[in-house]
Amino acid sequence: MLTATQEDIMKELYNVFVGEAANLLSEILQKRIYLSVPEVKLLSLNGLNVIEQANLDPILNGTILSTSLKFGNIFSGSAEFVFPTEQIKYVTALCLGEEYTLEVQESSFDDEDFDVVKEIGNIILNSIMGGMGNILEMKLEYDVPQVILHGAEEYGKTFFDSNESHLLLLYVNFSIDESKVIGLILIKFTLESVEFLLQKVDEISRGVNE
Amino acid sequence: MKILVVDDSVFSQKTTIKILKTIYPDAEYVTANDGIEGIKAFEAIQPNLVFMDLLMPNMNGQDTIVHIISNYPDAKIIVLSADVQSTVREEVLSAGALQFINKPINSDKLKEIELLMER
Repeated sequence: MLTATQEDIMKELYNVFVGEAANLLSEILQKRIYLSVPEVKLLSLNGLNVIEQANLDPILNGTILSTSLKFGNIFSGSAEFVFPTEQIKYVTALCLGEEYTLEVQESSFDDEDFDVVKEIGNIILNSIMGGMGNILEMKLEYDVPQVILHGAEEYGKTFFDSNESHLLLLYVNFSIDESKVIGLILIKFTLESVEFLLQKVDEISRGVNE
Repeated sequence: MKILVVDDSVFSQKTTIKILKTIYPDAEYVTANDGIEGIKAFEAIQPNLVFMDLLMPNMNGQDTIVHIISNYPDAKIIVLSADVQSTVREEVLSAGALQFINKPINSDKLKEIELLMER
């Protein structure tokens, strides 16, 4: 759905936004954070085939935690940060400056874990969506972010059965020191919003080539 | 000195207070989880400084700032938000906030706050 130029520009833009998020996270966690967007795909949700859905693995399996941020105005949809649950306790311990012991690893999730993951998701999604708002020169209105623990299959069904027409898929490599955590950022848009976004990307492209 | 931190994330409240304590160790810190609680707390303690998140349930930070400033024009409110949109920054500053700081708060941003408070 994207031309090579559009994909290149979008990858660059999102790498900048995600880079900003990495700086902020690094300050919170006091650790070196690597966040990059190696791939950007714009897909039609209606035409999303089984192979493309299967490509969302390895994130969409087992139990996942998603932070979602709905945005509105002319440009509307929702952005989600999907995170594997195995890493939640590790990230919470880092944030709170606590030792990551076996006891911590094996404990069940509590409100504090959800609160920490919500803030992290909030910071990442705000960096990305806020960056988009700035590029589009419009104010995006947000709802309060929601954090939900899902079975991957149930999440997939709800996610793909949606009112929005398009899905912008950002595979985000997210790692803290040596621990590799792969997160996924999914942004769903209405058709009108996609057209608006691509118009802006084309404007940027023309500006570069002038 | 009384400092009010209004944020729906307890983690964020704790992080903010922890770093603020490095410059204001003797301040009295009060927290509120949304704008409604924030207004009540403001009226109850009349803080010298308020740190306000924007995206919160029940009443958002921007509406809370407008409410507080219309009743207490001298209130010193610093917005501490993950929102990086320049339009949002402009709006809250024109609503009467003293400064807009992107989360998380760090030592450089802390110096900025110190300078503001010394003015």
